[in-house]
Amino acid sequence: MLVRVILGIVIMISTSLIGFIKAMQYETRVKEIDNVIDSINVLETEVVYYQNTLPRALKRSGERSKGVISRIYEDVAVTIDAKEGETLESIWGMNVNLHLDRDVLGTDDIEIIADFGRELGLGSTKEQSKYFDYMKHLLKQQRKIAYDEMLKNSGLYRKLGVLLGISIFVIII
Amino acid sequence: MVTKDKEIYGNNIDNHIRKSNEMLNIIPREIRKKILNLPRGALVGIEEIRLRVNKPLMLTINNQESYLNKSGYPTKIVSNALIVTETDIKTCFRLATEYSTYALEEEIKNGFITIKGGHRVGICGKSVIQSGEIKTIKNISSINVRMAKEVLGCSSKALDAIIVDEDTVHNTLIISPPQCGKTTLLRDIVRVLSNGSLKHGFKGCKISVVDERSEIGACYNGVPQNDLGLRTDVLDGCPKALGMMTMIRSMSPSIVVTDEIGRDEDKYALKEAISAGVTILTTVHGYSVADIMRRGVISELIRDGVFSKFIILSNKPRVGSIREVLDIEDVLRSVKESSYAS
Repeated sequence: MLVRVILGIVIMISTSLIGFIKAMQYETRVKEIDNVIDSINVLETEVVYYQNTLPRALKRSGERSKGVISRIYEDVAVTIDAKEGETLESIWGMNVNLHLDRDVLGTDDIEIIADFGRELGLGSTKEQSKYFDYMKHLLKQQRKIAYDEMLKNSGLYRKLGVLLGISIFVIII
Repeated sequence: MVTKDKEIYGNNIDNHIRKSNEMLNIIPREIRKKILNLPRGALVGIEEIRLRVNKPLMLTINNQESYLNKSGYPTKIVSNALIVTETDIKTCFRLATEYSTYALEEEIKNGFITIKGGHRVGICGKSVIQSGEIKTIKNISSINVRMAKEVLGCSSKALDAIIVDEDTVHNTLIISPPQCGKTTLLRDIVRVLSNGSLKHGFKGCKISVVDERSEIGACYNGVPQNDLGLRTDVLDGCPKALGMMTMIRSMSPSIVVTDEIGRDEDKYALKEAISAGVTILTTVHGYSVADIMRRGVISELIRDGVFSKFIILSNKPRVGSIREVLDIEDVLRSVKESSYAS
């Protein structure tokens, strides 16, 4: 009997945790998208207003940003400084694939962030400014989707985890 | 080999190698590797690297043109030469601009970029015109990388002529045809006047350089890559007339230096500077006094007595040779004589 109770409690805790982790993924997705939008604002200031070159702008933005995007910025800056001459699109894409967590961000989110490297640094300041606005617009749309999904699913997974655990506990006992 | 190189380049060999490496940093990796395999004497003697789409890579080494063959040796045979691809040009442009064309809009419009070390990267391609002006250059098809040159000590003779006493210098105009070293001379004059010189009995003074085309200081991220002396402030990329007034107000210089005057607004700024008690050192394209007197702006400045010394350069017997040093009296006399003759 004692073994059953202990087993039931372990299962209940496990399912609840799984539910909480799943719920947290929805919240983390929103946070990460927020971090990316904030970091683009910082990068825009560095590029459009301070007119810093991209390696310097990325390094400074990386230092002032939160989340995984800060590591992407810093690593891209280091790779550019290495003067290997690869395209920014490929350097950026490689770092996005390396750092972004596919369990947290959706495929569409990652595609938008990966595309950001395509036009970054090219053209005039005015064009860069428009490009930043466009990227922020796309990310805000994704943020809205992520937020709606969080509201819908986050509580659901939490409750589902706990209830599933209680159900299994009752069945076992 | 090192000893032989030292015979040619003096004790500056390490500096030459460092400068070559800085210049090669913007060359695509595969080509860079081949150039770095050149014999040391050739490597330190590189003056220019020219990349043109689908054309042989061309190097100017110790004033001699040659191609680079596929194995990385200098050659005179075109058929053996390494051919530059469109990708090479794009990579080179990316590296030269540090992936940041937005930050170099003005430089690209002017057709050249200054990279770390003060080296100049000339670019050519399809120009985009808007309201009669070049908006940008796209589809880059040619890149010319020129090694920055500093000839320390080349101004000794010129300084003898322009220094009046321990803290005064003549308002001086350097007249020179293209490629005769006027900017190199001006740069060295600035360095010596800024540091001061026991040899010339000059104690050193505050100098403001208005470097509209980044040729004098060769600034990279705002920092002059050439040695312009201890008391020199550089305003980079600013139009001369605007820059001169800004520097006089902000840095209280004793001497203001600019390169290649000739526009109407330069005339007013120079006169303002003179009336503010500042000495002027500047240059102008030309072959002789008679030549520059044909230009309205310069002619007016000379007639108004803005300059008191004139240094005329020539490339004979070699680049940077001083052909003549004239006082304002000599110039006005010759102008008078020529007007009588005509």
